[in-house]
Amino acid sequence: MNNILNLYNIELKRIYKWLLALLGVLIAGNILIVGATIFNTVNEIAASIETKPSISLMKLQAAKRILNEYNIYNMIHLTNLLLGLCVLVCLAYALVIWYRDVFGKSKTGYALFMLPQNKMNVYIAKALTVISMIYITTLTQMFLSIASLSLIKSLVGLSSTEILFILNPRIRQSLLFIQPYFIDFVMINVIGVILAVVVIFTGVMIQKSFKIYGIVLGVMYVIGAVFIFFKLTQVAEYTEQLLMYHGIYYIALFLVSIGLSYTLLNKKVYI
Amino acid sequence: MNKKTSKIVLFTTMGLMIMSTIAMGLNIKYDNGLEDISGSKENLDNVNIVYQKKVGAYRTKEVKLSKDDTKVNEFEKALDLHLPFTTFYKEQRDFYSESYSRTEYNYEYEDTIGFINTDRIYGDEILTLEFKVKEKNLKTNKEIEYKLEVTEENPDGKYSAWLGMPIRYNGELYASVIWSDENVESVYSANKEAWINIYKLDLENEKVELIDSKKFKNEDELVQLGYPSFTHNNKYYISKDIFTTTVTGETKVNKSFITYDLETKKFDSTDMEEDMVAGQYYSVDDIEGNVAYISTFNERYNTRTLKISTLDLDNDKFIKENEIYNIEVPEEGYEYNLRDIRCVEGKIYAVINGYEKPDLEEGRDQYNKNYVYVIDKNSKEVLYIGLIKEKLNAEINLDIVLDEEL
Repeated sequence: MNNILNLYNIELKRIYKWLLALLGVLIAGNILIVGATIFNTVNEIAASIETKPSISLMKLQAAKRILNEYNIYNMIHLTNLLLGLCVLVCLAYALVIWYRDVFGKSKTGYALFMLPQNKMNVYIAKALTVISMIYITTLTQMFLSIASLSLIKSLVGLSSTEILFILNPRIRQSLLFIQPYFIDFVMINVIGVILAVVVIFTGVMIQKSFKIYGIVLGVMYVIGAVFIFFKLTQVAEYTEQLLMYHGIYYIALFLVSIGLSYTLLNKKVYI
Repeated sequence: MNKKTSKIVLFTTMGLMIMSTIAMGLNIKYDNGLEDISGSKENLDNVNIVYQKKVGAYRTKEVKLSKDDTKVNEFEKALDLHLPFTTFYKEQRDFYSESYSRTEYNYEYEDTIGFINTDRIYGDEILTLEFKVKEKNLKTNKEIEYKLEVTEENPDGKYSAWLGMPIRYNGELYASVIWSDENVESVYSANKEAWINIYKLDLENEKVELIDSKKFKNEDELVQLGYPSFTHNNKYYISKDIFTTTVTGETKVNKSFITYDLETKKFDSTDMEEDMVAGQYYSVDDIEGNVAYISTFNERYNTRTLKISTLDLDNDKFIKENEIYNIEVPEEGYEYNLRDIRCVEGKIYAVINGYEKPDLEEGRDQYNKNYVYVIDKNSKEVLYIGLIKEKLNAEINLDIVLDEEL
């Protein structure tokens, strides 16, 4: 455990400035989106009643209507899109975290391949780094969403129930990264993130083990894992079927990926 | 960044993630009960209001409201929208999942259940009906699928066919199919001509035989067949609306049920005495024993009345026609419609949905409210009104179910 935490510390040191920059982009993006939402709403009300734009216009009933019609939904949708991009950047780092060791001849690369170190510790430390990066961005977005909705709530005078009521039917129809329901959150935002990282890592292990053919095999492994996930989603007709299919698939995919990674890491991975 | 800081980052992140997950699990607990508006829940007797609600992609919740209590099953086997909430349909859900969305297409005999899906394949001057029949033996759990076809002439491709209602009678399978011209006239989707074909489906030899047919065509009238239709024992009951325009320009509708008895191989007709207002949608939501209740509840004319006609299926005669029940709604500003109705032992049980009329100034999504009504069928007195506390939209599967069916 201590070894893993040491390696995690090394990994986090290498990325924390980039992570802070990413969070900065996320926060700035949220401020811009919320600002634009309020700005647009104020302008729309001002145009409709032919008066000068002012933040006090947000207290009018028309603000509720305009926000309800599309502005709040657009705001949530755009902030989630931004979060989705940030998560993609983190997942891309799941590739970078391995290749910078190889090409950069860094300390962790040295620790991985030269020292009598359990290679799986390095694997776990790297996985923890990427997973915690995604969790940090997700948690930040959750906090920002609550803050922005609270701001709008206080400006317009909508109750929490009304905001939830506006969002609920629309949330169902949209693909949001942060799932609004408990099991969905666990399956996608908690376990799904862990699996995504493990699958990408396994793809990297495959690539490193089979040289040039490994690129094709590694990419196929990742695409295959994603394809099966969506295929199962399509095949399952009922909620409990989907939970069962995804549950079994998650366990199987995790075991296969970890088993494959462990074997390749100890027997075939080369520099 | 030192080791201590990275540890704090890791454990704080994981801790917050776990706490957020737990908070999400504890969050949003909907109030699932039935709020009394007037009268006592005791009037529900052995009738339950059951609904299912999809909560995210992985969970279906089922709520059962009865006179005694409210039972919530947070993880329930999801049922298709078109299937009733009975134990039988829950058990056979996977079998029926492929059937098209009407229970009228299902049939049962001896130890076998089945359904027919009817597809249309348009060709050059022809229309081919493809009957996909699926049967399951409940004793052996063996399922068999059949595909049968019949091709009919279709000059200029102007006819269409639908509603392949099945009946198993004397070991044979029959299907009634409604044909009509596609040149729909008037706002009521009525046709210049329409007819009913009765086909015998020979499953073993995969042959389809037309055994009888009845056509409706009159120069001064428009006809609409099939809304609503049902089967009972060896008989088809297919609604026929004849639309005529009076001298004052008003459209009147004469409604009747065309019956076809597979035993006598004869068409017959059971007329409803009273002319109805055009465009009112009638439905057969309930068949109890040998009586069918044909109901309508239409707010378009601000009547807010429930009309029920009672058809004796033994004699094919209406016992009562268009009995009017005044429905006083608890709240104005809503548009009301009937979601489900059952008539059991002298009482009418109905779920009426109120959809909030859009208010642009208020500026928020419209609320759905669902009220449970119990009405004495004879005295017409409203015995109970209850509000289903949870807000349920039209996508929700809701049913009135008796204790013994659960």
